[in-house]
Amino acid sequence: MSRKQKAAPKQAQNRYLPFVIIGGVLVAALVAALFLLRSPDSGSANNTSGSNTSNTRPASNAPAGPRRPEQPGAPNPHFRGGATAAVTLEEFGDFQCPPCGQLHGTLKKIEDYYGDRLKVVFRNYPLQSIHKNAFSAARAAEAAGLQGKFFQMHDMLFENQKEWENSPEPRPIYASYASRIGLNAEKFKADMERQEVAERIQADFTRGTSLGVGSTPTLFVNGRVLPVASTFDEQKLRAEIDSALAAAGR
Amino acid sequence: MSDDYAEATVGAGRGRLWDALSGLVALVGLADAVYLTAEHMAGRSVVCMVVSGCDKVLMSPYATLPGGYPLAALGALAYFTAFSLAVLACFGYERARPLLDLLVALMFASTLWLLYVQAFVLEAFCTYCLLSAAVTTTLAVLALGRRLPGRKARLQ
Repeated sequence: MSRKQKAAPKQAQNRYLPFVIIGGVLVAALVAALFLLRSPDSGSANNTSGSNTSNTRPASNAPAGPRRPEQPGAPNPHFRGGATAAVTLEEFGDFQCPPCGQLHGTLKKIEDYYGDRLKVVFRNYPLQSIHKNAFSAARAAEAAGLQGKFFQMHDMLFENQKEWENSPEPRPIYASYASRIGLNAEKFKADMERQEVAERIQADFTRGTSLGVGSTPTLFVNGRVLPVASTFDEQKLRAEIDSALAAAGR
Repeated sequence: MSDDYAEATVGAGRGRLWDALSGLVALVGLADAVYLTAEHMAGRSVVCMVVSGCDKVLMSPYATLPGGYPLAALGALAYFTAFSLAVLACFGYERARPLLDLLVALMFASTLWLLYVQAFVLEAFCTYCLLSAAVTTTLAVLALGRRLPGRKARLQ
């Protein structure tokens, strides 16, 4: 048998071998992914705390388990703009989340631009597992809300995020904001600790989770979740709102 | 056997060694990206080692593609494609090499952008993202390394 004839079967083997290897790796990767998805807890933080809200990472697009029906959230949600506007932009935000702080400036411009044609609702979605001061900040905003100044505190918190985000004890900082926006300091301090305040935050969080919110900020326009690209791009965000206004005939 | 043929054979052997190394490195990236994709889809936090900003990075909007798909899934697809091209190149499919180089260049550019986002936008780092950055950088170095002997051979 000549050298060429001997080499022929080997060449045929080499021809198919790379595809066998690639197929094998593809199957192994899919099996590994399925194994990890079905594993009860391969990560670290699927625990829930017994306090005011869950430490669990909210499961966006999670295939495991049915999603809860849409929850209403805290009653009389905080909003700016037109109470009866045809388009509602609902934000799920975390006061300590840096991208939420970035979005704050964009949303202010959007609110100024649309005025009463748009209702901008803010819902608390504090991610406690990664933002240790997020829940207390949400309490501060809700406590200010009890004196009719939710959005003044909301703006203070976002605009001065760096000042309090890593503070081991941020409450005195919130108190200083309260006095700057003219709140009754004693009432503010007492309201911050009220159970009703925590319950409002929890209700908003539960609503977000029921809608599949998986990160902050997440925006909904008339109930439709916006892609990240539209959330952070003012022009795209305007296009989404314009489209919703057009659909509503405004 | 002529000297030219021997040189070409040695050059091809070296090239295949680079391809094999690229394939192995891409497997590490694939494992990393598959883990992150699965954890994201299961709605779980990941075990964060060395640094402490994994959740901050992985729960940011930058970790999610339009439609809610995890960015890590795109990474897994890229690493699997890189692995496949490296294997094909290793087995003599010459057309796979330029495609692998192009893919690695795109992945490296994406890595630089994601490192910038972690450092300056989110101000937090994720162990798995840093591992992915190291893998992509190694792939880029291997792609460059593979070209050097070929250039020498051409010069000779």
